[in-house]
Amino acid sequence: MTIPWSSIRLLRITIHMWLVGYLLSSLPAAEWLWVYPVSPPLPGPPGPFRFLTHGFQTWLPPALALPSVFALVLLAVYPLIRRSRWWISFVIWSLFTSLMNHAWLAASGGHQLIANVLFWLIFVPHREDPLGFSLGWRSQLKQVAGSTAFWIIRLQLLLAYAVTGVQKLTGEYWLGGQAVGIVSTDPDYGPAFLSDMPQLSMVLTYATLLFQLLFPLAVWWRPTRWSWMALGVVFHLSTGVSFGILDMGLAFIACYPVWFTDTASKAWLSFAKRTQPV
Amino acid sequence: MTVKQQRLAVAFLVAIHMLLLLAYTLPQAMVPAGLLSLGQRYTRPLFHQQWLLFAPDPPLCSCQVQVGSPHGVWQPVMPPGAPYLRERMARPLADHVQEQIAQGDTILMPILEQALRNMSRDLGLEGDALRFRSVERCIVNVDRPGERTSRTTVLRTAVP
Repeated sequence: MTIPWSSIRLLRITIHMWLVGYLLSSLPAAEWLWVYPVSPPLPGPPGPFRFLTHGFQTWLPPALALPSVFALVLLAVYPLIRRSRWWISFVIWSLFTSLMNHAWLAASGGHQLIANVLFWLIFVPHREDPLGFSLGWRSQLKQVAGSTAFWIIRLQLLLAYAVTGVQKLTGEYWLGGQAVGIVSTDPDYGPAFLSDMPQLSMVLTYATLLFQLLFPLAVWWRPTRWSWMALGVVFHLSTGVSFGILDMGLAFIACYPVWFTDTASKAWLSFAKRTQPV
Repeated sequence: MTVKQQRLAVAFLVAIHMLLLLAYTLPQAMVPAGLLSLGQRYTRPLFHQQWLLFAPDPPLCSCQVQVGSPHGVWQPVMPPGAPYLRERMARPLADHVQEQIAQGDTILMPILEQALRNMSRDLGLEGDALRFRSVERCIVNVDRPGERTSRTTVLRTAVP
């Protein structure tokens, strides 16, 4: 039951980089997101967890939303430079989820994905226990919690692709090949030039469907993993730019390292270290 | 606990979590009612997610909500060129309005009306005299999606 620690380290870095990037990019719209929010308050789900996920609608003063954004940026940077603790991960998750629900009209599936990954990262230790995990029940419990969280993050990513694919199968226009044509002529999305190329629109419709439905199998199977993830990067960047949902696309890409092998992650980490400015 | 027992515990916990997530996110028609209810109770508080962008079908009508001043001038609630996150808030709002209209209801839900009023604030438009309308551009023939016809629906507010 070994966790690829370098992959976890790389995942933490990419997720936290997404978080910092998203929060900083939200600042030009801070007035409408956090200060005088356009999104009216939502009551949140019943039960005690709403105090953690809907902090600004339950116990945190809404005036603290903007300061929380800055605090969250600092907290998200900290684990990148120093060894973190589980409670820091917990605060990061709770603050991010509360901010996301405070500005719920601006949230997307990408935000929900990051919120879920941040939750499970609380349970993944920040580094391997040098003494091993077979000593004592506490260590064993940590090992079970860490491995469970690691596998849930892995499968969460696959589930997102599979479910959206299955949902599309229940519709009419994805199977009919017209879906991309419909989306591309919507003034809110685009690109409109596709409407003049019905054949290309049809190919892109079926390619999208196949990409999403096969993602879980292709990523699980090592020989196709890299090529499918490369396709995913192209897919998310192109749809992110043309639909104005780049943060959502980058959220998915930020989760890809959870499927990297330890060797590949080590190579990425050492590359990142070499290219760091002095 | 042996390594084998640890592995079994991990597999069991992961399987239960994923099963309940699937029950929550898959099309409702595919999930038995009991499991659906369990999935909702488990997933909603902490793990809420939905994967419905352009699914099961992309909308055949685009929708823009416009605000009308007491002087009869109409403009989009979201001015063009706004920061991307601000601009994006107009989409789900328009989607919710569109859903309401599709159900034959043109009285804005209070939460939507509040959001629209908040959004109009920066246009210098405030007060009870504001009016809202949705302007949809709808595909008539899915094989020619570029040809769309316009449809305007006046939305009624709780404050007449």
